[in-house]
Amino acid sequence: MGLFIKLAIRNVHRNLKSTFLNGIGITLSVISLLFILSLSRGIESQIVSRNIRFDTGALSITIDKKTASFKNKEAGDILFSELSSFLDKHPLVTNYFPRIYLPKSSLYFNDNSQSVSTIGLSKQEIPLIGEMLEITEGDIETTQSGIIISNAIAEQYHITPGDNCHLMTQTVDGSMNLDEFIVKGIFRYTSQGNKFTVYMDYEDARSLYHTNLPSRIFINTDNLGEVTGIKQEIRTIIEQEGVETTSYLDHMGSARSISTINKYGMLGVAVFLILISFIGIWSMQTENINERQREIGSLLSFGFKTGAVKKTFLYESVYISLLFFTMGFFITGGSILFINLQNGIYLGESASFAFGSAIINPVLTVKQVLTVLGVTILYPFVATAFSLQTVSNRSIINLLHN
Amino acid sequence: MRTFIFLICVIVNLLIWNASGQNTETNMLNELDECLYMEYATMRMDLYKNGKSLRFYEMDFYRSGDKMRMEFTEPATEKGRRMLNDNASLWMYLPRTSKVMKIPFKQSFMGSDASNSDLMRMSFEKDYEIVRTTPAEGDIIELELKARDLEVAYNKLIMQYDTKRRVPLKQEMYSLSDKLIKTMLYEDIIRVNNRDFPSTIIIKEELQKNTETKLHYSNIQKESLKAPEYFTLGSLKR
Repeated sequence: MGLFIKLAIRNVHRNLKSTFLNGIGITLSVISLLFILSLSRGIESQIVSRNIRFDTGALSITIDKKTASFKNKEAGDILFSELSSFLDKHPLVTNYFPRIYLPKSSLYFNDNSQSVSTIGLSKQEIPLIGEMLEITEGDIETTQSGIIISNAIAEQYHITPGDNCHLMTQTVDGSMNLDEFIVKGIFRYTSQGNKFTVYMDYEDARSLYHTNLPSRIFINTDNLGEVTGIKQEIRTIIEQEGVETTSYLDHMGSARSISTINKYGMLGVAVFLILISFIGIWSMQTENINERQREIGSLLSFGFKTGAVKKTFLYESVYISLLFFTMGFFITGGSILFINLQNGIYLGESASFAFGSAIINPVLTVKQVLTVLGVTILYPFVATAFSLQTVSNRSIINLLHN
Repeated sequence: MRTFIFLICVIVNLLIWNASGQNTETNMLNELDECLYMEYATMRMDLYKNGKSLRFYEMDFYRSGDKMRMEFTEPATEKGRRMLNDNASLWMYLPRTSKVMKIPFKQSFMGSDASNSDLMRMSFEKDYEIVRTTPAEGDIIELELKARDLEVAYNKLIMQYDTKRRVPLKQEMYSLSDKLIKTMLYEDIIRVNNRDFPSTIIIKEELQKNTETKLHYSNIQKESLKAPEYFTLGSLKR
């Protein structure tokens, strides 16, 4: 076996033209496969994790206007205290944050106004904006009396960090409220959903909305499999009108569909690419074998069995696969690392409809790399095995004479 | 005993004085509502930006108590559009789709500086109480009105009121945070049924100073013309 491997390695280095042509095909396949799988995984994790961390929470408790109003302060305070006490003690609850969701508000810059939706985040959650969205200008560390707007709004009204603005909204009870804010940061919007979203400090939003309770309480857990159980427990504690508990599973319908469509779509592209590469390698290996008929004839005349000669070619195929897989892996790995260091690939606004976000961060896992390695070894191996069929039916004389 | 009787008298007087004060305030709010009350008018709304006319709407305005209805007559593109406040909700009928939809009171009225509630829900007595009265100039006094409830759109109003003619002249509307949102100017006072009536209202948004909305009322009638059925949701489509 050692001899055949040595022969195979020698042949690979000797037949540089065929090695190089096969290698290019394999490298391109490896790059394409790794990219497709990492993008698919990136999209999936982005859709699911962004949704959970930013939009739905593992669990969330939605409190209606009537319950949240100062008019029901006493009952509201009791409710919040019971909830806090339960969540503080629950072993599966990692943390929880209150949020304010203002209804349609109007943002005023000089003599311009823009209809926006506003979200008030607690101090601990503010860094999430930087993690989920790219902050292109300004600073989001301290948002008190400040707001964070999208680059779409900033460009439309020529806003830069430090500019003053007014935000007018309807309070939880219905009266109009208005306050002055400073633009602290500008984020690059990633979807139609956050194009006209304004983020601000929780307490500022609470004061503007004039509410006793938060609009929603976001609950995080490290064990997503337990959300249904926790949801039931919360429902047992707070069985009252105006309070609704949901888990991320209740909101994941469209996100999951997008994720599944992307996954299978990408997989289809990957299978198509492998098929093309397989046909290419098959034809190249057939050509290679035909060119090396004399060499095969000589080996057979020296007493090597047909099977042993075939084995040499198959080892060659595996060696080339490993060699060019390594090359493809490093090229792709480097590119993915670079993309992630640049905060992802910006695919444009319209991409958000297909991928759930305009920014995609590819994610490469060990499992994916091993899968691609397996595929990269297997399909050239099979292509070579098919090509070697031509050797089986030929005599030594015939081969040497050719 | 004498001291006791004296004290009783003082308390009774104070109560009477307080009640009469409250009555005066209630009367003033009532007068405001009466002044602006009409059961029919032709209404023209002009929207201006940077001093230039952007667009206009002409409507027939009907009212019966707290219920109001508007029918758009101009421009041709809006003809047939109707709005109804049935004293519970605000509805809009769109002739192109033949559909009736519920709209929020606090939404801008046709993109103007006025909100739907500014035009379609007007009751000073129901919504406000007078917390301060200050003499201004001649017969004009300044009233500070505070919303009775947090549901009222503007938490505070500061109004200049002509006590002689019994008409409002100027009205500033404040947010819950006590910031000025809008100013209304009541102009072109005319006589309708032996009462003064401001036939032009100019609405200025304080946050967007380059815009202005002008409302002009004509053919004003203070008496009822329409049957109660006219102010029901069912009749809006017909």
